[in-house]
Amino acid sequence: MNQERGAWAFQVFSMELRKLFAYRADFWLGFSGSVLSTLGISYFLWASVFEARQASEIGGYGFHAMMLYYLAVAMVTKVVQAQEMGLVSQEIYQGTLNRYLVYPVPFFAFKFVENLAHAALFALQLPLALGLFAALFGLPPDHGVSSASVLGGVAAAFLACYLYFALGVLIELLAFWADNVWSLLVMLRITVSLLGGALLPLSVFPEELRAALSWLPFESLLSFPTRALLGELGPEEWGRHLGILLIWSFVTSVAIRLVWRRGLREYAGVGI
Amino acid sequence: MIEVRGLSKKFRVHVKQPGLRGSLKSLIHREWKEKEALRSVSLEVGPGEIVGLVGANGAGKTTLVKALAGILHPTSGSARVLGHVPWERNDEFRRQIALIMGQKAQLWWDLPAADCFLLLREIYRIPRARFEATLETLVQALGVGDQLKVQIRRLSLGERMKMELIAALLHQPRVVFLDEPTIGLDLTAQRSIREFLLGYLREHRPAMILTSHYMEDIERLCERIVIMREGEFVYDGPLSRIVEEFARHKIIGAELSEPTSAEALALLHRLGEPLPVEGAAIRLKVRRERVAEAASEILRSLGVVDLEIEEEDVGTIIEEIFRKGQA
Repeated sequence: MNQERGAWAFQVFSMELRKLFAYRADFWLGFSGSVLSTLGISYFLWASVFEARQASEIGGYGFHAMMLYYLAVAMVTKVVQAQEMGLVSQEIYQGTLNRYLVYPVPFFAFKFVENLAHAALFALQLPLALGLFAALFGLPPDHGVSSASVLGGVAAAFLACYLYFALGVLIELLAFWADNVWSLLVMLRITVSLLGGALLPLSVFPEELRAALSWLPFESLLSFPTRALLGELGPEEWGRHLGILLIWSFVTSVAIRLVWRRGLREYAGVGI
Repeated sequence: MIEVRGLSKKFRVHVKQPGLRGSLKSLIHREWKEKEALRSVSLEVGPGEIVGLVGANGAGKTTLVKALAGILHPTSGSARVLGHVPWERNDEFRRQIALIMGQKAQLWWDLPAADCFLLLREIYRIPRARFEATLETLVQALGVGDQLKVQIRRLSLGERMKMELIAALLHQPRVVFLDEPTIGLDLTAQRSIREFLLGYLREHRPAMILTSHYMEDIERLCERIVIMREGEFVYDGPLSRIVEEFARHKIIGAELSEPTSAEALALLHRLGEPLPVEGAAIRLKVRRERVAEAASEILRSLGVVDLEIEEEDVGTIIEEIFRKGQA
């Protein structure tokens, strides 16, 4: 019975993947473009930083390891952020939310499954990117990358993907009241990138700031899956980040439920 | 199947003065206007019954349909559809209803209709054999077998509407809401959709609520109509009673032996409201109580070859009702 109930989810997931695979050129161009641009930027950026500081390590990362981190966090960010922003608010603005209210299917689950298909596509690209890096530059001498760490990192990225999706949805639901939520979504993306370790490893941040951030979700969203992927985490850190992800996911989901109920009372079902 | 008691809905709409000054002002202080889309309306619809909701734009037709389909929360009042409160949207309720909105696509534009239908099979958990049989019947009836594998966005408006109808009826709903299903379609497509709906109604006997701006939809499909004006029901009853209850005029048509002269035209203006015609014919809209007098005056004063007295067109009467309140 349960399998039958969830059959729509497989259908949505498969349909979304089919749509994505239909654009083969997009898959390979997107992949090679993001890997090459990330590698190029990180090479020139970190080469100058290391040279200027005359340091062999920054935040515990040597130049080679920093390049690997930079590539890994860029690929993990794609998995976590998955689908483009603003789709839920568009459904509200355009009145296309109507169909999800009429169909006997949970709206957020439907949207998350679509999102998951995009995450899965990027997750496929992740080991390819690491393999390419290893082939071009080799892995850093004391790296912890293994097939188990890659699997763990991908699993962590999927958990983070849910939380990121939920945080985005919570903001997008403001579309029931506000005329435009786009700027808030951009702020979310920038905040997560900055405080989640997408621009710099968090080990570079001052100790006090790191302590303040430790119970917020940002580190667990990007830095955690990236470091898990690179085999840098012990069981204790795994446990802490999983706990943070689960607690924040729960809190955000409850908030979504409340805002959703309130928002539907305002919904007029009109749009372009 | 559908029971509505004293349903009201108020919307709060943001209003902004035109121009840059208005935009700046709205950054600091927002002005809101309240609009009553539904004012305490009550309605009952039984199985196999199709009720036509008519009214001018903004009369509240779509608001009522959306509230009954569970999309909108009303401000006050109650409604039960198949025993469920629609806006609680429990799955048991949603599995038994369908909503078709002519102005808003329900299907996924990037997918071919066949893929959309497969997804709907899973969403509604329709057993495979029943799904295939129903799909086959609906596709045959609407003649869209060739377009099943075409992306929805590439279909013509008429074909898309037919796909929307199939999608809405695949799970054989017991209550169907049709919001302007023929809007923008050419006459052939309108006719084929009307025929299809009549056939579906005869075979499955769902309760249907139909809104349309096309009087032909209403006249062909509905035995009962509800006329709405500014959120209220002005009339709820058989279509056939509209004429006896609301028609204040009759039409006198006559064929004359020679083209209408200026004197004849002056006479017609004195008797009633001449309607535009060509050649040696006249059509005169006359108040019902003056029909006999006007007809005898015409027979006496003009060279009449043939004369007939007709009831006013139902569509005209209805349009008059929702413009002025009564004909």
